[in-house]
Order: sequence, then structure tokens, then C-alpha cells
Amino acid sequence: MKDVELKVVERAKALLASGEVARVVGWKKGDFCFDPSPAVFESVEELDGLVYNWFCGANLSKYLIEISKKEGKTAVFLKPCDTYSFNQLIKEHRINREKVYAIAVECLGKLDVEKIKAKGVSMIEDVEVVEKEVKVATAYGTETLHKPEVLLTKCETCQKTHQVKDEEIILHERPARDVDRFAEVAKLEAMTEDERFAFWKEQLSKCIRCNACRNVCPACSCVKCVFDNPASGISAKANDAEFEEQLFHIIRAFHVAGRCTDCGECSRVCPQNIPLHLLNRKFIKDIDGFYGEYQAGEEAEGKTPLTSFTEGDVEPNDAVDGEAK
Amino acid sequence: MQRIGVFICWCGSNIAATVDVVKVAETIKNEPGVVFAANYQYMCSENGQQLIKQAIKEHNLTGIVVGACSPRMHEATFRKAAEEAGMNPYMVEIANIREHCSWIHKDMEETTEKAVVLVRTAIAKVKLNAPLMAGESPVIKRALVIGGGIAGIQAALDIADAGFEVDIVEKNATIGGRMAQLDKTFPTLDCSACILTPKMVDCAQHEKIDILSYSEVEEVKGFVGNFNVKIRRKARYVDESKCTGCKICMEKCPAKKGANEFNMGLDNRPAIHIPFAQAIPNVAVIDPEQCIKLKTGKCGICQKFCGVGAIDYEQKDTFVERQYGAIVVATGFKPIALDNFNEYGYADNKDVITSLELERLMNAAGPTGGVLLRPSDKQHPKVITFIQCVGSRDSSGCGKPYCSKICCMYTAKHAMLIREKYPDTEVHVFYIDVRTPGKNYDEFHRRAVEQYGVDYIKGMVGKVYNENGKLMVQGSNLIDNEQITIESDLVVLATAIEPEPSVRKIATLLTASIDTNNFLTESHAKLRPVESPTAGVYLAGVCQGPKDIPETVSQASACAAKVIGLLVKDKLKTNPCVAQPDENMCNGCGQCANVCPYGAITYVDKEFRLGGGKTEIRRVATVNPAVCQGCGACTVTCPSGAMDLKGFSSKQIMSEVEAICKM
Amino acid sequence: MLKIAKERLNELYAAISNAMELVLPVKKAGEVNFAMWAEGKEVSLETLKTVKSPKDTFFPQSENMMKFKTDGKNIEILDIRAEKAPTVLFGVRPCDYKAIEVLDKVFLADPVDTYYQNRREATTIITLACAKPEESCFCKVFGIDAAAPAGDVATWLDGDNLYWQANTEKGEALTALVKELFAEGGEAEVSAQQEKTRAIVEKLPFATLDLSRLSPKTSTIYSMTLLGRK
Repeated sequence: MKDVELKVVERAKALLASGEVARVVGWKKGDFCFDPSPAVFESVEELDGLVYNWFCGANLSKYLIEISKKEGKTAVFLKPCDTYSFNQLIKEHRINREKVYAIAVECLGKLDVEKIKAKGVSMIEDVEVVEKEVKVATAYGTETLHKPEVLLTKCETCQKTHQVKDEEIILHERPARDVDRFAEVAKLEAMTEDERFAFWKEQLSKCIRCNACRNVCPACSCVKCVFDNPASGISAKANDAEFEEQLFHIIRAFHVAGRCTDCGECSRVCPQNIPLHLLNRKFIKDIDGFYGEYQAGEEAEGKTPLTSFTEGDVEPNDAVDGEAK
Repeated sequence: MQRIGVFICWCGSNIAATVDVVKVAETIKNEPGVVFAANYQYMCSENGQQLIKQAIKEHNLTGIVVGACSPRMHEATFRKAAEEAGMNPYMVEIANIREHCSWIHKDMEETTEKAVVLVRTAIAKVKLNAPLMAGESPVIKRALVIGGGIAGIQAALDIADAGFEVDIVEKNATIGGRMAQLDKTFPTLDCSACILTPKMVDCAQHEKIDILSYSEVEEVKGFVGNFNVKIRRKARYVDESKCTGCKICMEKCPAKKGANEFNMGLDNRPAIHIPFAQAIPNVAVIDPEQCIKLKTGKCGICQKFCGVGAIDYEQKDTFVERQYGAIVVATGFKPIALDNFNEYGYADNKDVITSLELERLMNAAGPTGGVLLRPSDKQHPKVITFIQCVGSRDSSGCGKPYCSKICCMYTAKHAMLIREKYPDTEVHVFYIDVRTPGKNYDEFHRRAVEQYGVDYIKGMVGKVYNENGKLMVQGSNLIDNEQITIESDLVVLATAIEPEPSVRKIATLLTASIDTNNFLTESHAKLRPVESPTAGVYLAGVCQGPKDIPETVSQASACAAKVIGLLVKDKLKTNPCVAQPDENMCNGCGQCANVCPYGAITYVDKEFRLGGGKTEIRRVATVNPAVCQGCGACTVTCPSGAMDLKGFSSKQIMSEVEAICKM
Repeated sequence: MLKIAKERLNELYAAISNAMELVLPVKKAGEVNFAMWAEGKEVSLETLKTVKSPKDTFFPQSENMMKFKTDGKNIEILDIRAEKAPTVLFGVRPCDYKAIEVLDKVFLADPVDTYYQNRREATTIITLACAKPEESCFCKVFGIDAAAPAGDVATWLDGDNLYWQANTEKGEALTALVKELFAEGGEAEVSAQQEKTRAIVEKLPFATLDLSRLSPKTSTIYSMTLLGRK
């Protein structure tokens, strides 16, 4: 990974120094090795803080909504999953494609530090990955973990490829894999109504309305969010009723349905580890069944199944009965 | 400060019999914001309206609520009254305490309580009403008629005679429709083609009528007065401007295995053909499924023999875009398929035929030259049995629930004509009822029975089966109370009719209402039978409901009158209850335009002040109020709620819900 | 110093719960948060930090402060305040307890927030010392001793026992209620753990954060609230 990081910093510095771009959007080193955060770099000196490591899970595309409005071009590093939300935002006219220089950067999956810590590993100093082995250097010694067990949930079933790029930094090819991203959804579908309700009731009861999921979601980029707008009738700062805590997530899932690219950020940022991505994946599974396979963000233009009518669309009765054909 | 006036109507005893209207008015006086409440026997009357106008002036009312019948009845009346008293007509709300209350409940206490809730709800809404101004839109003085049967032809002729341009779009290669396939027409026994073809020729020759045959409507955008229609002109593989209709190509064409649609498949026709002798336009068309040249590249005989070089195998579908002020739908009907009626043996026996097939057999231009010969062995049938209501009046789900209207008369016609031409042929008719309500219709049927000796048997047929080459028709004779079996040579099924299936697509394109039987819905069954609820769209012929030729022609002329009434105007008043985006909240994401059925939404770049002297340019939606029909699809699609509906804002609707729940 | 075997902690919870409401770190749906104890719930004292702090006990995200009823043009206000039932808040970390002290300085000072006061006075706080601080812990630099928390009762947990030390009147009253479940002793084990913990804290990355960048105003507030200096 260090070799990729070197290339990333090298290219960023070159682009900024030459004046081809006015700023670079990437990740900057945090207090530890496992907490890089998204950042805007405006000088070559600042780029000394640019990192690209096993913990750069954050999706940078949403920041471009505001940043691409500024003078000059903006360079951004996009992992495969990030390129879909990038495309979707272009399709919705939120990002001006011409103002962005997109660098497709390689990704072999990102790690979840919570999962590493849950294995009893603490005082982490450095992390190195070789094939399927994750070597964690701590103050108490080195631990070796199995990569599939400590990946970010969104990376476990990822088969995404870069959909957009002005250039690429890919030094290692990701091996092909056969994974079913709807496996967990199918498990929920197989439950009885009561079991499923009990599952979600329990999960959603943890919600503290921090709004991190909404804030990080690229599809949730309304100039004025309904949950912040008293006139909408559904604005609230806290879940003062069970109904409220359940409906917030369901309403949000409906609002992004058909536009959600399955980037998985919502679940990654949730402090209570609520598996929100399962709600969105259920929608995607249904949309695929009713209207044909559709991946939001694959194209930067074209029809979206939920806002275009075609003869032969599923009839309401069939859709409500949940029999996606 | 709101000053709301509430007026509760007795509607004679329609409301007052089940709702204590006095109590409602008294109770509602205490509602916050209400400064005046009254009740009166007939609010829509001159006196009732005076009461409203006076109250508005005397009490300085800012908005009014009328608790009365459905807004569909008198909303316009009360809006006008308010306007005359100096109030903006959109500060008026109607609480429907008749259709939604007094007419559907019995207990007076409950009904009164509900009426109070309904009026409270309307008050909650009117408190959030804002004054609205109606706009204007221009009218394109040209009409589109979809369908070139007798309904379309009549409507087109009437509109053209009034001086307006009309286009007829017909999906078949010739106009004429079903009437061209008929032999004689009841009750006069006129030859169908003889009375139809002169009208067809009139259409062709009329300077104001343009016939687009072998064409289909592909896309419709716009609204009343300004429809933008894309029409697909299908490839005939024959140049319409060159073909003289000489028919040499038909003679020489070696591919003669195509089923002749005009003769209901009873005989064949060549791949290149003119559908029938009096076709308009009298131009050949190639069936690409049958043509050897189009399928394999070999042949090309017709092109060799064509004297004017009209054949063009490279021809492609083309598109034309035209603007219209009004659209008439006259798409007609077809007999239903008999898949669910195996008991009649239609699929297994060539001599079990439908009435339309019989029309072709009896027609002089038909497959047997007008001689009645049965399809299996070309022998003359000696015993013919007619079975009525095949697939009509059917509550089992196999057929249609409605009565197809024309079959009693045409079967009487068939029976009479056969008995007249072949007096030695026995004719039996199994019927449930005989429906002959039109002018001279009952006399017509009685002639069949009394003068021509047609044997009418009241009872249904259980099955038709083949026994030693004879068709056994087994049915009931309810009057004599016995089961009977009639050995027949020919069995004719009076099949139900249904609207042409392609009308579903047309209805979607026009956003016109369609019912579960695929008939287009009229705006009001009694008072507006030729208008669709969609403004600018009119309905003529069987596409609106089963009917015979006299009714079809009447309806077509009625349509034409409505169309002329529209096209004669230069400007139309537009409804101000249209969508409006809040530019401060709009993302410019483009979802609303995707769902707008009328193409009313476009996007512009607008400058916004950010504070601190900064500005930014943002893409926002903008609605053309003349095009928007206020359907609200965009308001639901908008993720941030920036798009709202004037007169029916989200806040207003929620305030109504809250008023109801507050009980 | 009192001690009770870890296996018997459930009895302790049941005893407290019989007399008052008991709120402690409970594992639900994979995450540990403060919640009301009930028989069968999975208590997790080993987890270093709950996802949310125990602040909710005194300072809920939302609460009904009053109700009012409208009838036509009349409004009636209904007082729905209720006395908070006696509560025990168990398992509060030293840093979280410090935060409660800071809240006290704001909400118990004039004008007193009576809703907060009501809940605060009804609650007995049992703190739990940390044995395995994490790299992101910053207690030392704010003068918090992770090994010797304040609180009505301070507790320590090791592999065998929970150790219990009442510090205030409230703490003594609670101890009286559950005394028979405990045995005397444990000073040595507690001392040993404290030494170990303090040693780890010294080596934490944030043990020596540079606070000189704080503005003079912020520095004063920090001194007064966190360090308790006048």
C-alpha cells in the first residue's frame, strides 16, 4: 500500500504545482494510523499530510458539490465505489464534471478499526496487509488477523469497478470474486413479518439521531433537507417516540431509493452500528426485480427506473405483495 | 388576522334530512378564525349567493367555506359569487357534506358530527389559502382525430367543414374501420360500403383534411390548445405519391399465403395488397412478414411490374411532429378472442364462426362472392343456429360484464337476410333477452320473427360439439322448459366486442381516463358524454362504450361541435392551481421533469445571495403555469419538498389531516 | 473497601433494582449503551466506553416539559412534572463523571434547571475505574485520574471481583442496602490495578497534549470547569 500512497502524493503534488488544478481533495492523516479524514489541500506543503492507506474508507464524492463550485479545477481521488456516487451527482446536476479532475485510485478493500478492536486488539500503532493477513503492530506486541473478518462491511460484498476517471493509479489488480451482496437481505426476507419487525425495532432503537448517515450520504444532498425543515412536518432533532426513530430511516431510504449507489457509507459512519445499508439494499433488490437490473451511478445520464414510466411496468398489486419477478 | 365566513347548505332535504345543519353552523361559530356562520336551504340559488356576497362585504371576510354538495357541482358557482363581491375566487373552499356525508350515512348524530369535522377541515385549509390569478394560453387551430373509422371520419368532416384543419391518423393501411367490413346495416338494410365510401372519398378530397394512414401516434406532449404530437408513419414499402392503385403487383405477387385480415382470415391475400376495393388511400402496402423479398432478399417481382416505380424496399418508418389544439379519440373496437369459450367449439370447427365472419361471407366482396357457403366444405348450410351473448353480460370472469349492445340487432338482421335469400334454410336464435330500443328497432326484430319465421329460443347454449360431421348445439328452451339439441350446419356466435387494445397506449399518452374494460371514460355520464376528463381530449364511437352506427355518428358530430367550440377561441383561461418550486430549496436534480406528464418543467441557472457579499449560481426548476395541469406528481417526487402545489400545498393538506385527527 | 465475586454481580443488580431503578451498560443489538437493568439483560462492564455517555440520565435528548389543551378559543396548561424515582447509575467512567460535574456547574447554578436538578438529586452515581485505557484516552491531561474516580461510590473490576468504596452520604446509604452481599477487603488488589493503570496512562499518546494553544478565555473556562480551579 505504501507504493500506492507514494504515487498518490506524487501525482497530487504535480497537479497542484503545475497549476492544472487549484486544489486536491483527499484524506489527511489523523491522530492515529487508523483515523484519516477527508480534507482539501490547497498547497504543495499541505500535501505532505496526504495519506492513502487501509483506513481511507470515506467516500470523497459528496464534498465536490460545494468544492467544485470554486474557481479552478479540483482533483479528487476516487475509489471504485466512490465513482458511482460521483456519477450519480453529475447526473443530478450537483457536480460540474468539467471542474473536476478524477483520479481513479486502486482499492483492495478497506479495514474497519472497530472490528479490529472488537477482537481485543488495542493501542494500535501501525497496520500492514499482505494478501489475506492483517498485521497489527500494537504497544502490546503484533497481532495477526484474517482480512475478511476485519473489512468494512461495505467492502465484504463489493464488486464495483471504476466508472469514471481522468487518470488512474492502479498498481495491483483486485482478484475477481463471487459474492452475493443481497445475502443478508434475503435472510431478512425469509423471516416472518414479526421476526423482521422485531429485528429492525431492536436495531433502530439504538438510533440517537446524530444524522451522520444523512450527512455522509451523497444522495442526501438537498439544499434544504426535509428533516431540517419545520414546514415539512417531519423535522425533528431527536427521536421522542419509537415511531419517530423508525420512520426517520424508512423515510430517508425512500428518499434515496433509485439514487442510492450502495456506497455503504451510512453504515460505516453510524456510531451505533445500525446496518442501514440493508434497508437500501432491499430497495435495490426490489428495483432490480421489478424494473430490471439497475445500478445507480453506472452512467452519468439516462433514465432512472423510479422516475420513468414504461409500458409493462409492474402493477401496484404485484409490487405490494412483494413478489418481485 | 383571518376572517372566515362559513355557509352551511340544507340542499333542500338532501343534506338537512341526515345532517342537523343548524347545529353545524352554530358549532362552527366557535372555531378560531370564524367571524360569521349561516345556514340556508339552497346556497347555490340566487338568494343563497346573495347571502354570501352580502356577508363578504358586511363582515370584511378574507375567506369563505361552503358546506354543501361536491365541489364538482358548484365550486365554480361559489368562486364566481366571491369574485363578484370583490374576493379573490381562490379564497373559497368547499366542504362536501352531501356526497361525502349526508348521502352515505344514516344516523343523524354521527352524520352531524362528521359534517362538523368536514367543515373544520375546510376551514383549516382556507386559512392557508393564498389569492391566485388565472393565466392565459393560446389555441392552435388544428384538430387531430385518432382512428379513421366512421366515428373519426364523421368528426373530421364536421370539423373541416367548419373551416379548421384536421389530421386523421389511422393505424391500418386504409380508413373505413369496421363499417367497411359490414354487409348491410340495420335498421334500414343499407349497404354499408355504399353509405360509407362516399364519406371516405369526401375525407380524401377535402382540402382541410389530411389522412395519415398506416400511422400511429407515438408521443403526445402539451395540454389543451397546445398539443405537440409525434406520429410514426410506418413503412408501406410503397411510395404513396406514386402508386395508382392499379393492382398489378397484387396479381403478380407469388406470396399468396397471408391471412386476409379484412375477411377475418377466411381467405388469403398476397404479401403486397390493397386491403379492399374502395380503400382510401388506394395505395398498396407490403406485409413484411409475408414478403419474400423483405425476408430473404429474393423476388422483387412487384417492383418489376409496377408501371410507375412506386415500390421501394428500402423504405423506413418516418416521424412527423405536429401541433394541435384538440384531439378526438375514435379508435373503435374488435370482437373478443374466444379462448375462454371452448364450449362453443370455435377452435375445433371451421363451421362455428363469429358474426363478423358471417358478415364477410354474406358480403358480395367477401371470400365467397356473397354466396353463403360454409367454410369447411363450401356447401350451402341448411340449418343455421345463432348463439347470442357470447362473452357479453358475463359475470363469471371469462368474458365481459357489459352488454355489447349491437348483437341483438345484427343477429336479427343476419337472420332476416338469410331467410330472405334462402327461404329453405332453417334459422334458430338462442337468446337471453332481445334488446332493440332504437328508432324502428323493435319493428325490425318483429319482422324477423313474424314475417321471416326466424325461430327465437329463449335459453343459453351449454355446448356445441361435432357428431358425425354435424354440429350439435345443445341448449335450454326456458319457455317450454326443456333441454333441446339442434343439429346445425353452421353456428354463428354473436361475440362480445371490446375496445381496440392499442387504446391503452393512447390513453397513457393522453393521460385520458380508461376503465377496467378499456373503454375511455367520459367526463360525466349524462352531462358530458363526449369529453374526456382530460381537457382538450374528446371521445367518439365504441372506444367510449358499445354503440351502433347511428349513435356513433351522433357522438362524432357532438365531438366535432365541442372541438369547434374550442378551436374558435383565441385564448384559454388556465387554472392557477399549478406547481411552483421554492427556488431557495430546489436542488436542480432534475427528478421533477422526469415525471411531469406534460413537459411543464424546465431548468434555469439563477443567482443566489449567500450573505457576506457572496453569490452563487445554482440550477433550479421552473414551471410553465400554462402547461402545468396541477397533477402534483412533481411535488411527490421532489426529495426536499421544494416543489409544491398552489391551492393544494403540502402544508394545507397536512392541516386538513390534523383538523380531522383533532377530534 | 468491599468486594463481591464477579459471578454474583447479578444478585447485586437484583438487590439494587428491588429498591430503585438501576441504569447500567447493557449490550443490545451488538452495541453497549446505558439502559435500565432487567433480569436476563446482558450487562457489559468490560466494554471501555459505551457508545453514548450516561448524560441521558440527567439530560435526555428530548422530554415533555408541559402539556396544553385547546378547546375552541380556550387554552389550558397541564403540569406534567413528576418526581424522578430514586435511581442508581452504575458503571460511569471517570471521564464521564467529570462531564457530569461540568454539567452541574451550569444547570445547578442560579437559575437552577429544576428538571435537571430533580433527576440529579434522585440519582446515586457509581463510577467504575478503567483498567485498560485506549490510545484515544485523554483523561490525564484534564486532571482526571482513571484509576481513582470520584462519584457517590467508586468501583474497580478485575478478573475475579468487583471492589466497592462509598465516598459520599448517598453512597453510604446505598451501601447499607446491599452490604450483606459483600465481603470486606480488596485494598491490595485495587492498589495493584491502580498502579498498572496509571503506568499505562503515562504512556498514552494524549497524556501530554499541548494545551498552550487554547486562547486565554478558553483556558480560564477550562481551568474553572475541568480543573476546578477558581
